[in-house]
Formats: sequence, C-alpha cells, structure tokens
Amino acid sequence: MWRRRRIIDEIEALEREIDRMFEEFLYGKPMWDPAVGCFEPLTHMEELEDKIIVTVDLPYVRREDIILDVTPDSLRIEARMERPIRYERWGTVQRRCEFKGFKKEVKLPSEVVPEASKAKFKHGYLIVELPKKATRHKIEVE
Amino acid sequence: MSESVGRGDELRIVEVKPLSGLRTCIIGLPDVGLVGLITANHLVNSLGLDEAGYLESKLLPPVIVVHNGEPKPPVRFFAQGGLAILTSEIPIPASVLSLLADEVLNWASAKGFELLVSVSGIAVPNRLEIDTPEVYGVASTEKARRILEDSKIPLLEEGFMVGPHAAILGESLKRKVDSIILLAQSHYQYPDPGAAASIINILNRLLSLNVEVKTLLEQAEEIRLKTREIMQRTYKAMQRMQKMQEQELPPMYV
Repeated sequence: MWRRRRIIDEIEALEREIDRMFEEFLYGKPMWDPAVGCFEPLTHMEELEDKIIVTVDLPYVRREDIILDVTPDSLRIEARMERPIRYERWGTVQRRCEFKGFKKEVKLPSEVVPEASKAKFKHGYLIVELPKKATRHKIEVE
Repeated sequence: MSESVGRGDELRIVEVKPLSGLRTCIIGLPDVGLVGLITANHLVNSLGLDEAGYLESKLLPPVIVVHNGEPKPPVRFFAQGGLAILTSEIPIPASVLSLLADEVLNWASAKGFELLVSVSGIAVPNRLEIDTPEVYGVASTEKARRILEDSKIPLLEEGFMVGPHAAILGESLKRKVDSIILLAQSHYQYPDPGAAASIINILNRLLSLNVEVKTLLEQAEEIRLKTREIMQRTYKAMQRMQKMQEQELPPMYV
C-alpha cells in the first residue's frame, strides 16, 4: 500500500514537472486575452513546509472586486479593475482593445485545505496563504 | 553617424548624433523590480533627453521595437548636456553581460565620462511593509566611495550582486574607473515604481538633478500594468543568471 502511494506521488510529481516545462515552453504566449477583455496578472508562488503562499500583482483593483476560488490543487483568481483600460491600437493585433480585469488559474504543487486558506490585499498586491493538507506527522526519538 | 571604439563584430555602441562634454552615464537595465528600467524611463522623459545611439549586437535576440511607427533597436542611450542614460526594453541575456560591460567601459573611456552610475533594485521579502525604500550604494574606487559618503548614501556592507550592474562594476574595478551602483529595496518579481522613486531622489542629491517623482508615483499602477510582460521575461532571465544568489550571505570572513 505504502509503495503504491509512493509510486502515485512520484507520477504526480512528474506530471507537475511536465506541466511546468510545458508552461515554460508556452511562456511566449501573451499575458492578455482581448476576446474576454482580461489581463493575466504577474503571480509568484512560494512553497513552504506547511503552506503555499501565492502573491499576485493587481493594479487598478479594489479588494471587494477580487474573487478567489480554491480547490485542493488549484487557485483561481478573478479581479475586476476599477475602470476598463482601453487601448486604441493594442500590440500586435493593432486594433482597439478594452480590458476589464485580471484572470489566472494557478496549479498548486501540493494538496491544500481550501477552507483554511486566508487572503489579504495590500497596496494592490494580493497575498493568499494556503495551508497544506497534513501528510506528515512528528515522531518522538526514544 | 559615428561609431564607438568597440570590439566590432560582437557588440558595439553606435552613436546617431555627435556627442561631447559627457560627464555622467546612468545605466538602468531590466533587473530586479525593473527598478533600473523605470528609473531610466522617468529620467529620460522628465529631463527631455534626446535619443543619441543604440547597442548593436548579433548576440542580442532579434528584436526591434516600434514607437509611433518608427522601428528602433531595443537597447538605446539618450543624452543631453553632460548626462547620458543607457537603457533597454528587453532583458539582457546573461551570456552578453560581460561583453556589454566591456563595451560600455570602452565607450565611457573614449567619451571621457567621469562617473558611471548603475541603478537597480535589491529584493527584500518585506517590501510590502516598506513605505519609502532605502537606497544602498557600492563604489568601485576610493573616489567613488567618497562621492557616496558625501551624499550620505549608506553602503551595502555585505552581499552578492548578480546581473548587469555587477558586470559593469566588475569591469570598472578591473580598469579602476569611478563607478557607483545604487540599489533600492524592491520587489523581486513585480515592477516597483516606488523603488525607482527612491533612486531618483538619491540621484537628485548625487548629481544635482531636479527630477520630481510625484508623477512617477501617480502613474505607479499604469507602470505596473504596462510592464508585466517585460517583468516576466526579466524574471526568467534573472533565474537563468542565478540571481537568487543575491539573497545569500558571502561565505568568506574578510
């Protein structure tokens, strides 16, 4: 049973690494989508022993306009900007574009407890703390 | 069009207008928190510096930027009076940094610059708790160190430096050229106009400039929005040059 669990863990780790490499490969993709009028925000993830901390840069956003959706293995961020940002000739598409907010789904590297997650918003930066599902326990040394 | 005394094929600075009487060169390239880039942009716009040249190299990515319908190389410099500013709209690949430093120092020597000032950020984990980032200095010579002390800029006492400013400082040390690095406390992977404002306040004192930072701070959200993509690219470039080493302590007790 333990061995099977370990193999599954290793396969999942490999899957995450492949996802990461794939994202790296796709890194050239634009950080905006004119079809839905959304930017992709800059995001940083830090994995600690007991939790995962995700920070997100959200200019032009107010705290009350942020929607967070957490599952055990993902965090979805949607945030409306206080006013739409219009560009008369946007980038390579060279046409008028309007952006209303930010959207991003972050795949988490370990399972977390969604109900115990916390978020705060300061100076336009969102900080989400996601406690990891406990899979370790301390043992005493005799 | 005149050209610098560079090494030719690999990388060279090309001047597009005659330049003379230059004394100080500020170098602000994409790095931690884009502090150098944001600082350079604000200085160029506020002081109304003219475009004076660009960096040409087959080692740089094949990128041309278009501004108001006009194609331009991404690494350019601007000048007016005794001041020149070198900046870039793309991160400089790690493999090109030593050649870049070499050419900047060749050019600085040919033009008779008295002082080089590289500006950048130094990542601090508690940046969100800091209202006005501190600025630290590093100098290549005794004379440059005195310039920092006279302007009451605290010295960076311990640490590693990695990136464009480290390459420029290394080459300055080798050639005994007066060179200063100014590092503002900054976000690591988010554009940081507040850190750039701190650098500009120090430059005002150091170089007797009179550049206001109010508009820069008012435009902070717009800058953060517009520079997301170059920040992302710069972040990848920093990872490749092992930038995280800056967060470590040097091992030697000297």
